[in-house]
Amino acid sequence: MSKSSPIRPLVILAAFLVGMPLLARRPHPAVYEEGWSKSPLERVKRNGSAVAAILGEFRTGMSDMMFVKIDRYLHAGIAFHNHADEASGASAAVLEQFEENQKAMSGSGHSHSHDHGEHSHDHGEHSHDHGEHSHDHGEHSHDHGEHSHEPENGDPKPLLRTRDEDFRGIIGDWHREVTPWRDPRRGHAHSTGVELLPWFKLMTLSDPHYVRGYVLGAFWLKSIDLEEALAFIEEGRRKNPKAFQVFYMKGMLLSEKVRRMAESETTTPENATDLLDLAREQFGRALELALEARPTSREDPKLASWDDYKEYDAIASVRMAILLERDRGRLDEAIRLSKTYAAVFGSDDVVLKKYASMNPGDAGE
Amino acid sequence: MRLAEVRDSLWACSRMNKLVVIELVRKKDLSVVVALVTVFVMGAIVFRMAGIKDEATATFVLNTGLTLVHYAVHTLIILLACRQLPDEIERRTIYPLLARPVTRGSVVVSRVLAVAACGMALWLALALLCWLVSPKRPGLDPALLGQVSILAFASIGMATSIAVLLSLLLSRYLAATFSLSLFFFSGVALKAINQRAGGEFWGWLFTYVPDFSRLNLITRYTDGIPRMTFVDFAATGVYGAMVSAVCLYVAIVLFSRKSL
Repeated sequence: MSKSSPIRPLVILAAFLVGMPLLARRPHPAVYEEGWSKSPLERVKRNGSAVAAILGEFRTGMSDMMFVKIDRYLHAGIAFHNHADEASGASAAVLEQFEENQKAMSGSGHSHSHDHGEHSHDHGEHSHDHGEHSHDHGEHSHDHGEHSHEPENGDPKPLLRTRDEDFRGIIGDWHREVTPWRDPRRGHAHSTGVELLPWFKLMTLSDPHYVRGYVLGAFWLKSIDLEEALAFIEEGRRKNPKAFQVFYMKGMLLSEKVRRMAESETTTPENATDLLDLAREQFGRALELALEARPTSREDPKLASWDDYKEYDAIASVRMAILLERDRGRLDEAIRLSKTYAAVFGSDDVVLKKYASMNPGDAGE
Repeated sequence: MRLAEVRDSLWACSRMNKLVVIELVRKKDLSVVVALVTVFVMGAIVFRMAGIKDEATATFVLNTGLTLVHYAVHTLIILLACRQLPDEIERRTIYPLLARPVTRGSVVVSRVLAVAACGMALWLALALLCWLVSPKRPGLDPALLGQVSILAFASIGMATSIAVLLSLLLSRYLAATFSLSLFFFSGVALKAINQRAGGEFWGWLFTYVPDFSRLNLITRYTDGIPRMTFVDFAATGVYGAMVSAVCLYVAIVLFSRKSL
């Protein structure tokens, strides 16, 4: 070895110095956008299976495991049975908030009504998930602080049973004392969401194509720092330029920004208009991408990667665009959008239905 | 390396392989890995008999099995590789070894080849077992499974070379810690650094840190993603081979100059 030519180390060094950056520039084989493990529906099935229950928090990927962690953090350490409504997307919570934003911007006050008319939130199921803000049908808070919810039918049950259902007697009492636990009859409590943020960050670091991590992370982050939330979702947009949910959330954040500026009277109408135009552009782009990804028939191969949750988010994007146009006084455009997309989605959605049944001439009414 | 050195290495390798296998069995590390995989295999069989209701769970079981084997075998061979030369030096059994007509380079090469060969054989046997007992979802690409195996072999070679190199620079415990950290966290850490640093310079600099996640295609396979193109696959294989070769070369140079 020692007698070998001095050229050899130099050749090896040169090959290493030049070769490594060249090879590392090739697409990373473990990074891809689609995949069964990334589907929210698959995640719910997987995490609800007996195999997952036995393996505890060991999951197929880091981001999957982190989602379980987030659930624990959100519920102040209390472990709940898997609840399958996780994948209803960010739409449930943000749509509700969007309505609030629009009211604030249009100066119609801050009262919130669940009258199940135009402003009803027909999401099919009660939203109670990582990052999703559920309706409490009473006092309504949008500061995303720590808050409790009255018990409702369909609430997830904690893994640790109540005293009445626990056969272990005093052992069960001790277990409930030393483990985070809350009597399900008192409802469940959500933490502030601040604790969740590092997990969302880690989740997106471990998998930059984990779109839900960006969307829900931005949703929670905005309660602390809206600009950071915008930066986070922008990072998500750069990494996932084809993910419509990211554009949808960016539109939401921009409309939230306008609302806050209007409340603090730090904006001019021109600024607000520019931001709302930008938000509308984001919803429009979200719709374009959603329609590109959405299957058009049962035979369409895109069907494999499209699930109900994506459908909800796509419809939510339409609603946002329609409501934004309506609240900016462009009812004709709102009607046009409703007619176009009601035909595409064939949805029973209240907003789509209502505006699709109107005619452009009704705008003046 | 001259032809004589290659011949020496092959001769030494055939001897070393036996020694490495004996050490592997004696140290009980293998028993732990086999016990872990056996638990998984039994669990998978029970689940199959009970019936797995949906494809998502079937994919999860397959992914868990293959990932378990991948991580366990890498951990095992890193621990094994880190012990090879330091133990020989400490026990002074290196002297009778070097008294034979072999070069120091041959000793290093044979050790690396022997450990890597054991690791590859073990990976293949255990992964095949897990694959056989796990439920398979339609749509998995069999060609990608071949790519998974070949790149896993490249990853084992890379882990072995790095562990042997580090064991010549650091104590065996530190070498094992660094090698395992590199194996488990290099992928995530490099992604994080690239995202945070953002600059071209840092991005370029960190391409020199070996990234094991490039050689792990298990989740890609169980996610139903198509096989890699030949060019991408070849480039990834060359990546693993290049890191292994450079580490091995540096290890040979270091060991040749080491005062014993």
